[in-house]
Amino acid sequence: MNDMESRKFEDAFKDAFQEAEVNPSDNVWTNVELDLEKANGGKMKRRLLFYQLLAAASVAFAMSVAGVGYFVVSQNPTHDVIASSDQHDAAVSPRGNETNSSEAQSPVGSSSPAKEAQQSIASSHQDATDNQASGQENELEKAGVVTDKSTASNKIASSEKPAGQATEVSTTDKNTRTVKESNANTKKRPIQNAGVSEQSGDRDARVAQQVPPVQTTPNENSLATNDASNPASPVDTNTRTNDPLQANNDVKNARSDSYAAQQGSTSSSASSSVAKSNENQVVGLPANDDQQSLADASYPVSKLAARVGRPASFAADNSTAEIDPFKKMMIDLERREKELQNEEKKEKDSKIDAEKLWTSVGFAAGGFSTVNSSVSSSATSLAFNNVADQQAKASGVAYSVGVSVGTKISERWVLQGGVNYMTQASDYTAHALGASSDFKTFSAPSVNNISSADNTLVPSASYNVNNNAQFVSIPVQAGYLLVNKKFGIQLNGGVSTDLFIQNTITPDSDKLEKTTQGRGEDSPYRTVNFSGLVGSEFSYRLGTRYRLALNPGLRYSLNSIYKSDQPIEAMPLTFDVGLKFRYIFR
Amino acid sequence: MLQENELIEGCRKGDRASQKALYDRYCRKMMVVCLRYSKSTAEAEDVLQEGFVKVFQGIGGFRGESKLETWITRIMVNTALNAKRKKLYLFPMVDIEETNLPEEEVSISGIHFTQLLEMIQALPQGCQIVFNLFAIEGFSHKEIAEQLGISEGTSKSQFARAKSLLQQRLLKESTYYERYGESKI
Repeated sequence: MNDMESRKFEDAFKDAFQEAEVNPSDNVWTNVELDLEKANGGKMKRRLLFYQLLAAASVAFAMSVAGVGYFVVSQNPTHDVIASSDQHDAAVSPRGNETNSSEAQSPVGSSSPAKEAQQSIASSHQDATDNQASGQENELEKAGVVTDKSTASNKIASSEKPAGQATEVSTTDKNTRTVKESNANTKKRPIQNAGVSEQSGDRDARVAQQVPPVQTTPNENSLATNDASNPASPVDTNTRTNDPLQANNDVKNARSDSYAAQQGSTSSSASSSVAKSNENQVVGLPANDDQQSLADASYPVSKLAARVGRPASFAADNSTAEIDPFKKMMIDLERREKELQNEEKKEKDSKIDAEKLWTSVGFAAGGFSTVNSSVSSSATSLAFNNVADQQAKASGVAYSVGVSVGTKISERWVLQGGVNYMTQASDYTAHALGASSDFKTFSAPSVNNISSADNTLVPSASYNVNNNAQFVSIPVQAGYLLVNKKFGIQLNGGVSTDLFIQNTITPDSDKLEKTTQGRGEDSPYRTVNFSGLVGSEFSYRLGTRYRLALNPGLRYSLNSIYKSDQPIEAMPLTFDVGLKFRYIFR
Repeated sequence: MLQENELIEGCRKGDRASQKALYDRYCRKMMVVCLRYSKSTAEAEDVLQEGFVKVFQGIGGFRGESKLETWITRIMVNTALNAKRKKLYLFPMVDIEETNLPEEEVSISGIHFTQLLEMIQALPQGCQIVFNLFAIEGFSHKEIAEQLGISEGTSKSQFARAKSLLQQRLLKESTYYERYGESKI
């Protein structure tokens, strides 16, 4: 009975407000419209920004590939190998190779993307090199083979960079300095002229000088700003985590609808305006304009009670002053609000710091050139030397695709490993055919087959040959987080185990057969190779669990890809730019 | 006049005219809802504005399982609560025995809702919210406690205190009326 009687009081209030209506001011709809327009504009802005970034990344990638291709082509002009046999004899010795490499190389840039890029990059390359660089070039030409290791390492590192990078903006001061240094040092020198082998100490110099293709800073700042300006307000976040209240069946059904609506909300403008409630204002009758609006309200006038005429007093009742800690509560509320804001900020920051385990899928493309290649003086014939030399000094394009896993081992250090499928394809010009003993089958000559007694080399007209080597690469890298925010910069270094799969020689002719060489005892290729890896990673966090990253990097073979008993040595140096999409587990 | 389904469909497509029509249809009732949870008209209008923005952005998720008015009311209530959520933990615990409830229930018949609105707005923050949720929205104390992150006992204490204050106020009003007769409007 008491419950029923108490419920009467509540029900009376409920009934009193059942049909109650009050006119809001016209500003409310105007502001709603503005907020909706802002929200739509924000979406468009984010979409535009994404496409802008994608375009910038694509341009950077294309320029880097073109630059590598241009560099490789400029290092390896086409020459008639057979006609220059005298020079080639001298080239058998290591010193000889250095002086004649420019003549012996086939035009690797025969691949059409590299060729087209050469023309576009040529002009930018010209802009990038200043008088100082050209002066240095002249000095080097006079000096001949470079024997100074440190200078050589700088040249190798800088010459590997695509010319297009000279105009790119770096995000750190260190990189800015290295961009300027690389501009001064960029020159068109063949790697083979260095005449020194790259060791790990030199690789450090290359890391310092590496200038990856970087997206422009303003965009990234605006990304961060956009993200900061349109966060789900703490208020909204709290809303999502709480279930809506349920009064009756009708209200119960509104729960899922309201939850969906809450998730769609992004406006935070009202949060600050709602904070006006902190004002400890005495609420009397509505202001004159509000009173007018109340008068205009479509409520039943007939129920207007006589007591309405007396202004309501909203001063705190003295009798309740002892019990009501309102003022004290307001002071505590403001203090607590500040504490909560700080906690939310820390929680947000900790989410970014807490990327402890992730997996990623990515692909990379770039170019490679063979350094420290040589053909042994014990080679039996000039013809073999010619073929081996071309294959040994192959330069071309490299692609890789794979998955990786990473974990954070300390605040700034990460460890990454993965599996990649990698191909290195190069082109060279052959001037002979490999003929079977019965002269019925012809194929392009290569290291794979010309050492066989069953094959004979037959001189022929020049034709193009594609040399494609495939590997499974298992990299292990350590990374240092230079910047660990929504936008991240990471420096990586490590080692990769490259398992040789097969090498395919494809002549550019219908009448010649394609030859494939796998691994094994009979193969001239080493089954297990090791490479050193250095690179950097520029990433942007999307949401709470995803990161998109751009990875320019350098891969240097620590050993020749040919077996030690082969009269040929080749250690490819690869520069590529990769795109990785990372999923963060925790 | 557009049917509700047509309005909803138009709002889903982002048609401004449909959105305006929906707003015009429900803004007055929702303004009362917002006034009940706010301390001033300005604050109520802020909540109303934010609430309707959420309505239009989330109307794609409205599946018609409840009435549209109920759904919009829920959004307005949640929007009002979100603004106050951070402050709700500081409810002072008041024992029910101390509320000094009047001996007889005071009737509110004949009192206009605007007067009742002002009485509700004059309540302490926590009491105002709990009273609205329990007495007018019809939620249980357990549900209110879960929603606000307080204990059920606190919810009951706050409501009891709110009821006590309102009854005292109503008693005062009725005493004034009896003493001074009809007031001039």
